[in-house]
Amino acid sequence: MSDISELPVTTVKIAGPLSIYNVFEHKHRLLDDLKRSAVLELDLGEVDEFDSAGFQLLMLLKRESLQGARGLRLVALSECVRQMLDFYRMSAFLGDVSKQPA
Amino acid sequence: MNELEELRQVFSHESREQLGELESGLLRIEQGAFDSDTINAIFRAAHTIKGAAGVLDFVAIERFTHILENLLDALRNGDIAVSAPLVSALLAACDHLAALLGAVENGKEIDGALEAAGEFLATRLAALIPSPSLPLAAEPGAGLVLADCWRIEVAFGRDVLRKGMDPSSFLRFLETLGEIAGLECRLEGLPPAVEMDPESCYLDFAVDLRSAADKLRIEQVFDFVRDDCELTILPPGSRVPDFIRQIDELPEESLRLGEILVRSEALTPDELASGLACQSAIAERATTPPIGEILVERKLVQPALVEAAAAKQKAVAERKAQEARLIRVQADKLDALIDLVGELVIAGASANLVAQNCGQPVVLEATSVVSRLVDHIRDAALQLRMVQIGETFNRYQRVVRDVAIELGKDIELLTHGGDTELDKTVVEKIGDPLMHLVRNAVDHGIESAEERRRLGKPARGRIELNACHDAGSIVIEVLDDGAGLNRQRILAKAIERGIVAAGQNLSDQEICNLIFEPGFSTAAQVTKLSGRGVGMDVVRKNIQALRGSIELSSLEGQGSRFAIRLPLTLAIIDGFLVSVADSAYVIPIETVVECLELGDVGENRHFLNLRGEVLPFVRLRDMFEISGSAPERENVVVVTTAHGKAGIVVDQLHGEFQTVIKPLASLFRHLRGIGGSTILGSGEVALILDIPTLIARCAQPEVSCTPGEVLESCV
Repeated sequence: MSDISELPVTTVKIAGPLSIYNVFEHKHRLLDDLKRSAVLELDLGEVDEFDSAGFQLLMLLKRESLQGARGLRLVALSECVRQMLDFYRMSAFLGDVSKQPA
Repeated sequence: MNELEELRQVFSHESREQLGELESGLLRIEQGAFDSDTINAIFRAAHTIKGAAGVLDFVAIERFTHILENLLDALRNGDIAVSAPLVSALLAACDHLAALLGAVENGKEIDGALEAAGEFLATRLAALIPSPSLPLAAEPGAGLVLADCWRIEVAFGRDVLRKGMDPSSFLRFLETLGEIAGLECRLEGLPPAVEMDPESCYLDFAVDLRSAADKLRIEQVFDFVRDDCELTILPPGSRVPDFIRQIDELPEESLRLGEILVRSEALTPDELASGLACQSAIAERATTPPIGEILVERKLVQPALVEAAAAKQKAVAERKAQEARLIRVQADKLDALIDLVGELVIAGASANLVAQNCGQPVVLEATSVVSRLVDHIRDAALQLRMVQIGETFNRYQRVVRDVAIELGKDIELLTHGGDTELDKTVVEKIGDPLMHLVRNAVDHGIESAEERRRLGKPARGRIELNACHDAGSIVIEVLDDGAGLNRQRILAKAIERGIVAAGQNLSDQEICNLIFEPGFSTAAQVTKLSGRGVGMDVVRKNIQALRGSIELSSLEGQGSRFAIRLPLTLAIIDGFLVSVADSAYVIPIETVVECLELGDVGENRHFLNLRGEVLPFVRLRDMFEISGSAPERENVVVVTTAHGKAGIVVDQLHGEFQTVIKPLASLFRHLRGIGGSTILGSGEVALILDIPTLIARCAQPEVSCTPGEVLESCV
């Protein structure tokens, strides 16, 4: 097992839809990215379609991050993502740091 | 013991329970259960410990728990997010609290090292609390009662997303009927990552809706998804009769009034907390008002509901008073009682014998009545010592989690049969061997997640702990779905250490059992157990010392199974009495398969033909070097052990009987083949045979010394 402190902080940008139509493709890849990183930062600033399937995928990543002692941060949220996370009252849990001063 | 001592003991016992709750709650959160119930439960646990510590003036504990409480409060308010470092820090805090409790229990002062550790931890915890610089805007209508809200719980089915629907659209539609005062999203059904299908829906929700609509209207919101979800809609506080019915239907637990109201959902935890705070505030100035009064006064709950909750509380209390109450008893007083019961059993048997000899029916009847009562007392006394094994199992959850993280493996521990009861001593003594087996499964059994995926196994390894009763014994299993035992490696290591010769032909099971040989302990085991000298041979010895046995089966690539069999109690044995010349012996009944007469066998033969089966046998007369010649007809008792069946040749068979075991004096500790002694009704001593060692010795008569040799060397 590699030492977590030697793993990088990875930023992954997702543009376009993150929804039922493409969560399947994203799942495996994002889980891999998470495993290879000390912290995975998701830039969702240009996600133009977001639904509960996308939200669920984020929740899966969050749980995996907790159990694998990895970090997960959302560094940018587009409007549709923000609305759903706010509605589900899950911004804090998912580690939304997009509002913090740089 | 003076009062203060007693208070201290009660405090430590109850605080440990709360600490257990805290830990389990944290582990659940880590598994993804981020719901308000769990978070509130762990907050309450910390709060309870703090309160108790304050009452007893345990300043260090109170201060530390206060910091912990602040952090948990921030967590439950949503001021901080759940994260791996947070959970680890909180679990470390639990460990520190346990250490502080330990100091209290031993009556020691907190030493410098412990204090320093506490300071360090406190800093670490404080760092996780966000600074209150961001003003949190008060939510609109924050003072309003959630009791005026409908409580809607909906668990969406797996296919909801695939059918083109989205949970959020239904929930948003609720906003057309009123205002969503609270929304909680749960993902308890989310399977392990490898098995999770991103197109399936695992979402559950709990919504508090403030609305003037009636139940039907709310239900209609979910019309399109009605067949694909589980929906419950609870009416708000204004619907008192419904709540009263729910209070009635609560399970029979002793609860505080406020808790009853919270559980029936007439009141939320926050409201109860604010009510309690108000109560303590008033209590400082005047006499403490009852919580029900305060809740009604602050218009948090209707008076009728408080009455219903109070009535329920009283009913439960009365029923509980009628049921078993707990009493704290000192362990050595219990042991003394059991010893006395043992003596009673033996004396009773003696009296029975005398009665039988004298033959008078009146006497016989009287002694048989006494016998029956003695049996009941014996059973009742032994019951007192029974403890559930579940507590032991729960301890391993934390161990598995910690070691798995250390090794970078993903492992879950499942337990069944936690409510199986065993004798207290057995539970205490089986703890270490079991821990060793569980750690082995984590260290060597379960492969890493990548390896497992490569083999097509689910990434999450599984270890199971099962306990159940089986024909007068307890069976405890440790199973894992890991790599199983590597026969080649074991054989190679055994040859290397000279345990077996190079060319020997061993069966598969024999190879597996090699791990129990002394000298097999792998020195390469870099775990926290190194230095304790624990190997599988010690595990087996410990289990055999409890008159138990351990069996192992394993499939390479699929996993291993260790089955430990233990007697239900160490004090009493169900035995089969036999004799050779004037000496009496007891064979544990669970090992006996059948008895038969020994036919004509040659002098030096050690095998006989049992209906086509080859049965090795041993003559007790020879083994224990009893003088005199064998009678014409000898008998064979066929016993079964882990090594298979064997026969024990004796002179006479005397039948089944139950008796109390007396341990042998330490002088005789090295006797192989004898597991204790007992006193017969006639006053004679009978030796209890330790069947596994006896039979194993048959195979290697040269290795250990016979009882005759031991006695000789003692003289």
